[in-house]
Amino acid sequence: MIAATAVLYLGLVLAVGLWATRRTKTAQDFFVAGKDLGLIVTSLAIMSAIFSGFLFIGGPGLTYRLGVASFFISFSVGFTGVMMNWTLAKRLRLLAEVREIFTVPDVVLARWGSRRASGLAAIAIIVGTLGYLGAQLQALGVLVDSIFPLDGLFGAWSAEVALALGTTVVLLYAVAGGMLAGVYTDVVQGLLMMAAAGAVFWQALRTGGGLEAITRRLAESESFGPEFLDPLGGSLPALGAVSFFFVFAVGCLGQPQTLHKFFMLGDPRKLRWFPAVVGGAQVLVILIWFGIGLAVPALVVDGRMEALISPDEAAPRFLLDFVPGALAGLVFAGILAAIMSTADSFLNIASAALVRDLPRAFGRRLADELRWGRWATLWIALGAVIFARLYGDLVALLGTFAYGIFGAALAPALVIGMNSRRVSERAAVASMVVGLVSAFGLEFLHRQALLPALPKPPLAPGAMPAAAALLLSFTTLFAVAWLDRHSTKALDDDVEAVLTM
Amino acid sequence: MASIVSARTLAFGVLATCCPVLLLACWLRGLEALFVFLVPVVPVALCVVGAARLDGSIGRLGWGLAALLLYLEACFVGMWLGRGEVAGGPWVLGLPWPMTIQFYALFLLPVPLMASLYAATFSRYGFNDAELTDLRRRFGSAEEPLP
Repeated sequence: MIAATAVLYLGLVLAVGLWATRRTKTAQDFFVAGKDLGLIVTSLAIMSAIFSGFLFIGGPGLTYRLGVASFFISFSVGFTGVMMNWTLAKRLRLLAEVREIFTVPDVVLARWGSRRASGLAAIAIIVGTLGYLGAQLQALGVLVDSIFPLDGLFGAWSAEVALALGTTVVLLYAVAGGMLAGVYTDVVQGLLMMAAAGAVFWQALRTGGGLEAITRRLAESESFGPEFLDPLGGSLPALGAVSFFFVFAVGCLGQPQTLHKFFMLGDPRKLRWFPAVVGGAQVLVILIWFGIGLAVPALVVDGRMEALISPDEAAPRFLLDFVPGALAGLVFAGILAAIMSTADSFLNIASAALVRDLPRAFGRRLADELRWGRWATLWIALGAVIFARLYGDLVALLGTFAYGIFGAALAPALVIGMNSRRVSERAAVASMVVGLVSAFGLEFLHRQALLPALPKPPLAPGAMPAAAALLLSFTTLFAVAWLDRHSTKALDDDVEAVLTM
Repeated sequence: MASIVSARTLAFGVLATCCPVLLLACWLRGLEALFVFLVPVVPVALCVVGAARLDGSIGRLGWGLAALLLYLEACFVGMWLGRGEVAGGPWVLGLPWPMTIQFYALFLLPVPLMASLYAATFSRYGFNDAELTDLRRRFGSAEEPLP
C-alpha cells in the first residue's frame, strides 16, 4: 500500500512537472516562475520549501531525545510571517517591481551596487546549498530504499539505485521546468504535507488516548519524567532552548529558498494575506511533529513500542506500526514531498547562483541563461549526488547547519540593509564574511568528530553555535555601519524609493 | 507630539545594544536568564524597523508591537517560572501549564492575531495602491496599471 501510494504520488508530481515544463520559455520562467504567481501558489511554495524531511523525521526524533524544548525550533512561526513581511517581503517584492530581480544576490547588487557583496551572497548560497541539497538527496535515497523493495532486485547496490531513482524524478521536472515546475509541484506537495500532517496528528492523539492522557503518563514515567515536558527546565538548558527559538525566528530572514519566492508573486498587494495563509499552513504541518513527538514516548512508556535505539526511528516506527496502511502511504508520500520540494528549490537557487550571480559578480553575463540554467541544474544535482555518496558524513553534517549558515551570512545584511540607508557596502560585506566564516567554523568545531584534537567552541553550555554566529554577524554589521556613518553612498532613485516606502 | 528619537532609530539602537549583549550571554556562563528575556526583544525591534514609515514613526502600531513584546516576555517569564513545576502544577487545556504557554500562547494564538494585525494595517504600514502606482509610474514597471 505504501509503495503504491508513493508511485501514485511520483506519477502526479511528474505530470504536474511536465505540464509546467511546457510553459517554461524564458529565463524569467525558469528562475522566478514567470513572476506571475497567485497568493496560494506562492504561499504553498514557500511553506514547502521551508519544511524539509526534517520536520517529519528529524523533528519527532529530536523531541524523543530532548523533550518539548525541541519545539522551540518551529514555535516561532506565530509571528515570523508578519516579521518577514514587514522587514523584507515588501521591499524585496517592490524592488522586483522596478528592477530585474531573480535572486537574493540580485537584491544585494541593486541595494549596494557592489559586485563584491553580490558575489559573496552567491558564495554563501552555494556553500549552504551544498549541504542542504546533499542532505535532502541522501534522505530521499534512504526513503525510496525503504518504501520500494529494491534489496531483492539490486542487492548491495539498492542504496545507490534508490538515490539515483529519487534524484532522477526531481531532475526530470527541475531541469526542464525550473522554478515554474518547482512551484506547481510544490503546491501538490504542500497540500499533501498538510493532509498527511493533519491526519497523523489526529491519529497520534487517538493512539495515545488524548493530549492530557499522553502528557500525564509521560510526567509520571521514570524514563521520561516531568523534565521531558518542561520547555525551559528540561535536559536541554534554557539557553539552548531559547537559542533554538532565536536562530529559527531571526535566521528565517536569511533563507534564500524562502525569500526567492517573493519575487514570483504576481500582484504585490496580495502580500497583505501572506502571513495568514503561510502561518495557517505552517501550523497545520508542524502539528505532525508535535503529535508524533509526544505520542511515541508515551507508547514507549506503555510498553506498546520498544525503546528506540536511534531517535530518528520515532516517526517511521509510529507510521508503520500505528497508522493504517492507506494513511501511512499518504504520510510517506508527504515525506517524499517535503524532501523533493526543498531539493527542487535548492537546485533552482544554486543554478541561478552559478549561471547568473557569480558571472555578474565578475562583470559578465551569460548569453542564454535559460539553457545554462538547465545544464547547471543537472550538474549541481549530479555533483550533490556524488558528493553525498563519497562524503556522506560531511554532507549530513553540512545539511544540519546550512540553515545557520544562511541565517548568519545573509539575514543581518538583508534585513538591516533593506531598512536603512545608512548600512554601507563595507558593513554588508563584513557582516556576510563574519557570518559565513563563524557559522561554518563554530558549527564544524561543535559537531565534527573527524579530528578529535580540534577544540570545541568556547560557548556557554547549551548555546547554539548558529545563534552566536548570527549575533556576531549582526554586531559586526552595526559596528562597521557606525564606523562608516559619514561615508555612506547615495542610493539610486528607484532603490531609494523602495527603501523609503 | 513630535518625538526626539523616531521609533525606527530607537529600534536600531535597541538592536545594536542587544546583539552584543546576547552574544556575550552565549559565551559567558551565568547569563542564561539575560539571554532568555532579551531574545524576544530582537524580533519585535525588527518588526518596528520594518514597519516604520519614511519619517521613522510607527504611529498606533507602536502600541500593538509594545503589546507583542510584553506578550512574548510574559510567555518566557511564565515558562521560566514554571521550570521544575511540571509535576506539581495544574494541567491546563490538556498540558502541564508551562507547556500550555509554549503550545497555545507562543505557537498557536499569535498566528491569527498577528496575521489579522498585519492585514488590517497593510495599507498604512505595508503600502497602498497610490504608493504602488506612484512607484510604477516613476520607475516604469511593465506591470498592468492598477484598477
